[in-house]
Amino acid sequence: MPEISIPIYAQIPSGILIFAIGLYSWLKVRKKENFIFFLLAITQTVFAYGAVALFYSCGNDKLTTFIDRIFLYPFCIMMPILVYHFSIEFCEIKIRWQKAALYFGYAWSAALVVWSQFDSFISGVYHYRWGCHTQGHLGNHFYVLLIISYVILAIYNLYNVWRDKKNDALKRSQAVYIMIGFFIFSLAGFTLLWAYGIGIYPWSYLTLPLFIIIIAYAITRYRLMDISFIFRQSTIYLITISLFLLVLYFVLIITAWYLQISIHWNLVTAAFLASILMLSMFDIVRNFIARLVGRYFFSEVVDYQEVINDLTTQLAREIDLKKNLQIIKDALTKKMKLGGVRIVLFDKKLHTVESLVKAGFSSDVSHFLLRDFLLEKGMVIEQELGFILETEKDNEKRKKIGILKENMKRIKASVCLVLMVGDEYIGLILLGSKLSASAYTKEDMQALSVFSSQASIAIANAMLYQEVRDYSLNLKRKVNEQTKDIREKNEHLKKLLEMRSEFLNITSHQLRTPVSVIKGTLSMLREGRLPEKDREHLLETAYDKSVKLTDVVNDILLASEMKSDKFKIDMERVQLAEVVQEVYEDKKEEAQNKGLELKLDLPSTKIGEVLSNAKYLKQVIYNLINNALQYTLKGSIIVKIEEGNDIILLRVIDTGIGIPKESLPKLFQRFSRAPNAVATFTDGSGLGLFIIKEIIDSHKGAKVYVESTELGKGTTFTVELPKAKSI
Amino acid sequence: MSEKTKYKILMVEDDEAQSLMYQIEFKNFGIDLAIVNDGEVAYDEIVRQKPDLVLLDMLIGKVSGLDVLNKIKADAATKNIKVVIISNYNKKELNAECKKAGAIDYWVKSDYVPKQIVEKVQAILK
Repeated sequence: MPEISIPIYAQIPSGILIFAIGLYSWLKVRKKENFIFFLLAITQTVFAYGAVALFYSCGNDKLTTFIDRIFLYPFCIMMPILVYHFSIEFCEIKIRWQKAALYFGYAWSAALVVWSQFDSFISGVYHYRWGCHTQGHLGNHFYVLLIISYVILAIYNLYNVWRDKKNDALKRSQAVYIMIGFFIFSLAGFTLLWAYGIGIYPWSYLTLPLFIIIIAYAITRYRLMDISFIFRQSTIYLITISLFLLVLYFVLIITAWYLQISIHWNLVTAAFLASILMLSMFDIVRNFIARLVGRYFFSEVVDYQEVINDLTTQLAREIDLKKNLQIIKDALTKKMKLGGVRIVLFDKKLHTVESLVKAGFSSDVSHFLLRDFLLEKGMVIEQELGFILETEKDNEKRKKIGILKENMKRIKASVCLVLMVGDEYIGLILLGSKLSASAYTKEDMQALSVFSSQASIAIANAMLYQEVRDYSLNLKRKVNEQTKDIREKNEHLKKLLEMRSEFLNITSHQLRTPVSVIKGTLSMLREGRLPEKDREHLLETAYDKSVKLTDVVNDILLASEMKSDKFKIDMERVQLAEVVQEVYEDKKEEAQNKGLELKLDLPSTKIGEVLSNAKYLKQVIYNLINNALQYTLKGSIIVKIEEGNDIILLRVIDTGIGIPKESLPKLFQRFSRAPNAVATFTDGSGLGLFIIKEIIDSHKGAKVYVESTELGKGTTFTVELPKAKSI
Repeated sequence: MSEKTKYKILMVEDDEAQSLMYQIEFKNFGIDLAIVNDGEVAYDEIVRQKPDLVLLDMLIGKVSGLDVLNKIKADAATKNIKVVIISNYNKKELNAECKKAGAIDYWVKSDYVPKQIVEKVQAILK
């Protein structure tokens, strides 16, 4: 027997560890990559124990050759191609030649596995201080070539993933560790030097534990193969197991020493291996039995850890409030197996904002809880209220607790969880009794307490998110509204500016026209160039122009006055017929000059008075008749007064040009003039009707409107004035 | 009066008071001023009378002075007739537009007395 070396000892735990990692990685995440790793782990495990077996076979050349052929070579030959295959899956390589290389590699490996059974591959045994190995021949050279080629290819692939900065940082880090791991493991190939008569110390056996450490680190630190969580838990178990075993050994050694009996180390080693296996299965077996027992003996064994883990994971993925509430409700009813569940959420003023009902609570459920118990943080348990009642001395409190207990009993609520974030109450969760009808245990309470704090945070986040989202939507809507409003106002302002500019042009024209006539006539008169025969006519014309000038100036001043805030009409009792008569007398001649008939149609009896202002009322009638005169080319204008029960109607009926339909809506606006009006009478200011409207609108209950109009046929303007009440 | 036979001037003006006033003043200076008081017939009159100068108002009923001006300048027979816009309606853009359309000038009536208008016309026709 050669000297046993530490590297060979190291194979014993390494073998089982790598197998466990491989098995876990495949069982937990069924990815191709993980399966290949599992296969690789099998070859490594066989390699590890094969190496130990080989060591113990030294001296029996036949056995050594048998072990090497059956347990070592077939598995070791598969390692390089599995390493390469893993690199292809991990690096997601789709390149054709790499796929071809993969198939070729498998074929090559399979051929070598067969070849390894013949003497041209290995035959005869070399013996060294540290162990023994079969002698490698031609086939073995091809195996060495296989290792070199495929390890280089695998490392090349992993190196490319690490080098490519487009890959995410996690993937790149994983690639680095796998690369280092594979590289170190490939150094196990130095074992093959023994096949060529070179008896170096078997350091190469240490590559397996090193590989395990590196891969384990990558799994936990960089989530390699997505099994970090399971792996971390297993590690905890293994460390725990190791600690127990250490104690066991210590007790064993002390007992043996005390009793002075010898320890059979082979038996101890077997026990050690068996205990590792059993303890590593402990959790799985325990869960299985727990489920079995739960199913057949108690209907409600709940794994709270699992429920809360699941809840946390699900809630972390969801931000929508309603869905969050659903998740919480499901966790309580389906997993914790509770009967009634009701979640009530409050806003800052403790108004209910959201309520989700699972079963049987009456609708006013939250109110008494809110009133009496919100200030007591945490949870309220109906069972416990009884004990509190027994010990509480304050009568006031006793009374409140009594009412609460009754109320909870009435609505069949067993537990009330208060949802809080910081010092703020965000809601309540009411729980009915368990489906199993058994009492709430201490474990239940602890779990529910953790549960409610997890739920609180998730709900608060979701509520906040909803609030922010609503706020942002609201803000967006408001901005849109404002923008639209501003745009409309801007358009309106633009139109006003255009109208103002048009007004200035028209007004200046109207002011200039009489001025140019008056100025021209006077200059000719002054310089003695006004012929005798034309003098009177021209002077008359100039005078008419001065009257028109006065009208225009008055219109402009009146319109400006109306647009100021100070405009107010002092009301008095006015006899409308008298004012109409006055204007009629003024305008009669002008109508006659134009060849138009201006008729007055007054009631035969004296009519009632209106509450108005004679000056402004005169302006209204004047403007109406003026308009009629200007826009009537032939025919007549009738000014008619009619008396109703409460109102007096004034109608101005002309046979003029009429008003186009499209001009009617804006008729009473400032500077608004219908196209046919502009063509007929260029001097119009666009202020006459505006002034009328403003004056009439200043009267309570009065109105002015176009009663009828037809292009080319005439228009009827009507003014309705309420009668002054007789005193 | 030599000018009487020399020049033919046509004024398009719908305000009777003004056309009368200008007619008298032009006559005082021995110039015959023909008047057209309707924009719609102005162009036909210009074609018929072939004046040396047209004094064209802007607001002349259903058509505008600019329409008449464009018509004059578009017709080969009338395009060489000198046109001056003479109006109390003055808008910067319109002023520029008229000049672009071929008007010699744009006079605002109230800025001048009739005698000054006569002098300006004489200056153009000299």
